[in-house]
Amino acid sequence: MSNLLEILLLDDEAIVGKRLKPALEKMNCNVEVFQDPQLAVGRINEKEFDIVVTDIYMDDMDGMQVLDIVHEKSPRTKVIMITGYAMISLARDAMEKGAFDFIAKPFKPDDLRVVIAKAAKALGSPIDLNPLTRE
Amino acid sequence: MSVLILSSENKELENQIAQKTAERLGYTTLDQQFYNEIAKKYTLDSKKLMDAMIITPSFLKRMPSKQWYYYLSCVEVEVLARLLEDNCVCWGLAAHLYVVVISHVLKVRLIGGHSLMSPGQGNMNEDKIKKIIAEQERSRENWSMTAYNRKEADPGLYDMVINLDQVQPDEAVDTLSTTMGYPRLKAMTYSKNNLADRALAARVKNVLLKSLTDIQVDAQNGTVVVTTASVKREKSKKIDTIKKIAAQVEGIGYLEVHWNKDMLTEAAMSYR
Repeated sequence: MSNLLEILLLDDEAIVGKRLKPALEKMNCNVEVFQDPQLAVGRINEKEFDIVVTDIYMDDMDGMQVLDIVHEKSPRTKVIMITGYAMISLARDAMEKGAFDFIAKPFKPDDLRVVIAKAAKALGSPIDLNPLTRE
Repeated sequence: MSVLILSSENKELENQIAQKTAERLGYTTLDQQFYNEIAKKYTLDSKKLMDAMIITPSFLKRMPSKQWYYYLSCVEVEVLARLLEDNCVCWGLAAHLYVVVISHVLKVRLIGGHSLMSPGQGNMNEDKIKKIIAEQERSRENWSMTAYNRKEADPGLYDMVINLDQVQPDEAVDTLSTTMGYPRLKAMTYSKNNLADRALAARVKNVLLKSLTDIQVDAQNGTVVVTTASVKREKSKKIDTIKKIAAQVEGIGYLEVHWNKDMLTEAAMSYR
């Protein structure tokens, strides 16, 4: 894995990618943003990402399917699920399927950065969060 | 961080199963011994605190409603704070009634097993045992409904019910230990935040109950909503008092007070 953390961010709401991309790029991450799950899956098939952040409820394909596809392609990739419809059963199902974490919307970019840092540590590439928290 | 909460009418087997499971999993334990620590911290009478977890408010039993709710609230605050810290097996503290909808918490109801109780109770005939158990269950239901508006024996409150008439205690320990290892019970940001919100709501309620009554508190993402009721002419005073008191609690992002008219008192006053 290179020093730059490769992240794919998938959410059908444009505002989510727009807000989170700059926040994650400050953490030495290269972020590719998708709104269309089909296009995101196409990219996942082309490239091995370190972390995939995906919304759960989307029109063409849900985040659980994306999780399966990512793990089939790259078991080491950490998948973080985000949703505005968080429920205990959904959260448990996501963890059972191997999600790295599950976050309920709305959340602050800092909340996601903390989870990304945890994922980076689990991947063996720890990120220093301190310079960011001083911003 | 994962949590196992047990609930049972059969305290002896509950204790045995909880201890063994905690030992097997390497988890910390939280049980009724914790009452002494809570009583000390809040300078409460520990005997009265333990009574409050069994009896409902009663003038005759010298347990006024205001004091009763405050005692319960102290237990809730301290138990929730402890559950936030570590992997834990918790029982005997009514946590199954106030730790709800947290995905990394497995809640288990143990039923039956009365034939396996210690020999001291072996002299009683089966009818007498059944009668005692039925009475205990009625009393607990009354308590849990008054305290948390939940029926303690309702299976819907739990993830799992184990019948100790059919499953041996050691098998129950095996089942619980295995289940706690399921990935679906792993702590995640969502569940940890939910638990932190519950702990925050409990802390706010606790400081308010020191001097006020008729208080409900919810929290989500650090936003705290206090719901209260009073007669109309006391509305502003009560809202201001709540805001002032709640402000002492650390961790509140935003505080909102929802006020409802206390129709009963209002009607009684207008009748006078």
